Amino acid sequence: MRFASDGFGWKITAYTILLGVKTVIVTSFLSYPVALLYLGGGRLLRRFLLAVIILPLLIGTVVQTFAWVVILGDQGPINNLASWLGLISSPIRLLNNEASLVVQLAQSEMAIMVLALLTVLLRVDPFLLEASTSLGAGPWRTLFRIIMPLSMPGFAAGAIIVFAGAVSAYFSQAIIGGGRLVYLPQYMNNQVSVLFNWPFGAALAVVFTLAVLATITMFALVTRRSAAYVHD
Amino acid sequence: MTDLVAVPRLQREGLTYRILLRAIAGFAILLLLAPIVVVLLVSLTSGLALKFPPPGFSLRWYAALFDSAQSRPIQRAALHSFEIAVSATVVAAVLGTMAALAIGRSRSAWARALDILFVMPLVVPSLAYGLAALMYFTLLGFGGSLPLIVIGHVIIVVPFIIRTTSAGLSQLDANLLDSSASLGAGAFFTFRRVTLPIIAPGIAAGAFIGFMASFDNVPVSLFLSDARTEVLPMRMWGMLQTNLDVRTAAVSGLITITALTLLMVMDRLFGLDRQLR
Repeated sequence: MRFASDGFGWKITAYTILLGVKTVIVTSFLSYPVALLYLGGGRLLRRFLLAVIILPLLIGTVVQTFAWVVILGDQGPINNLASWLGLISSPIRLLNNEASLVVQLAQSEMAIMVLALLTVLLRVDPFLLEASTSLGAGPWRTLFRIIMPLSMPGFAAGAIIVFAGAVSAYFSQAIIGGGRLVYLPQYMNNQVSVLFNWPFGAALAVVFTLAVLATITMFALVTRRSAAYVHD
Repeated sequence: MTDLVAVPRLQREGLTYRILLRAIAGFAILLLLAPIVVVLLVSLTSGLALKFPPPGFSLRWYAALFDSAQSRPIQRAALHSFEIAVSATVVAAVLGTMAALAIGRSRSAWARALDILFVMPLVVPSLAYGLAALMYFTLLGFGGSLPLIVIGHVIIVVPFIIRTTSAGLSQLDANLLDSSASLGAGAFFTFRRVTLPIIAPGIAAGAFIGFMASFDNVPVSLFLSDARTEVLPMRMWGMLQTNLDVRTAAVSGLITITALTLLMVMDRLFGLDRQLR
């Protein structure tokens, strides 16, 4: 099989999996505070937050990716603001780098993560948190020792979908990433649609699927292991 | 013994905790809102470029979108996307509901295996699946056509339907079915008058999300659609790549406005925050 002897293929597979992992990390970092804000918020704040979280799901990835092309573009708000403040003299290139891609993916996947966290955390007994505080635990301790372990099932479910979404987000990868950044989906499509090398494309598809499933399985095993430490 | 030093320390900790948490949450909310605000404002630009903030406001790009002389391909692509999403959702709703019913009733290992198999499309890279579908259809001797894309999209929609319908089914009390049967109702009558009304919200929710997923899908359409059966996301992609066409902003604006309206309707009908329980 050509894939095995092709170093490029392995490299791209690794980069693609890594892109998924990075997206999961950034998405979780942003999602926990939003979920906690929702939990502690009043009725009005909750309604507002829920609308903000659900809206991206309804709008879809194509429109949002397009929006990010404008936001990160040479004439977009970031470049305009920076030059207005006198920080830069000519527009800086924000598109076609991985940091931008990860932020964009995190934005479009955040809804799934927050909702997954909330479905679990809304069932947690609020007295548990009060008990933790009244026993002298600081808020950080409560967060890391009580809230986060309890949210594990929701986090695991959310992380798997976010990961799967990020690695196969062909549209975002090609448009926000683009240029020199090539991930497996694009490499695969290139082989099939441009070079008409269907067998190699199919081999890539199999490798891709196996790599994703292997990562997800490994992750599921790890989170199950750590969830076992939580007594309920 | 009470630790007298601990109290101020905890208060200080509480303050940094709250500030940090709110800062990150605020940034996250900004990220979530930014695309929506930018799309709506840029779609109203009076200029010729995708510039933000726009130099002035006008409805010219929406007008251009509805002018069939210059926007015929976009309108056709939008129509294709709509037709595909509607057909795929209808087919998937029927198939998905039947599958959920069968899986819900059975306690066998096969049913559990099938349950996992049916939600696989949610995690398996859809691009790999799109290529597989293309190769399969080509082996059978079919070329790109709308019915084939619909078949491809059914696989995208089905997991959502099965998920939400199964959730609805788990709320169905088996005693209801027994009493319906003991009162002399046939299996079909029971389904129509007892089961269906109870699981209908689940099916509707799945159909709604599935419709959106199909309308928004790129990876499967990428392989299955061609020039004659072009769908909206592919068309938008083409317009973005060639000349950063401002009409893409108008298309995005329309989709955003539709989503906003749907959100408000859903909130009125179901009360969104009551669903999260």
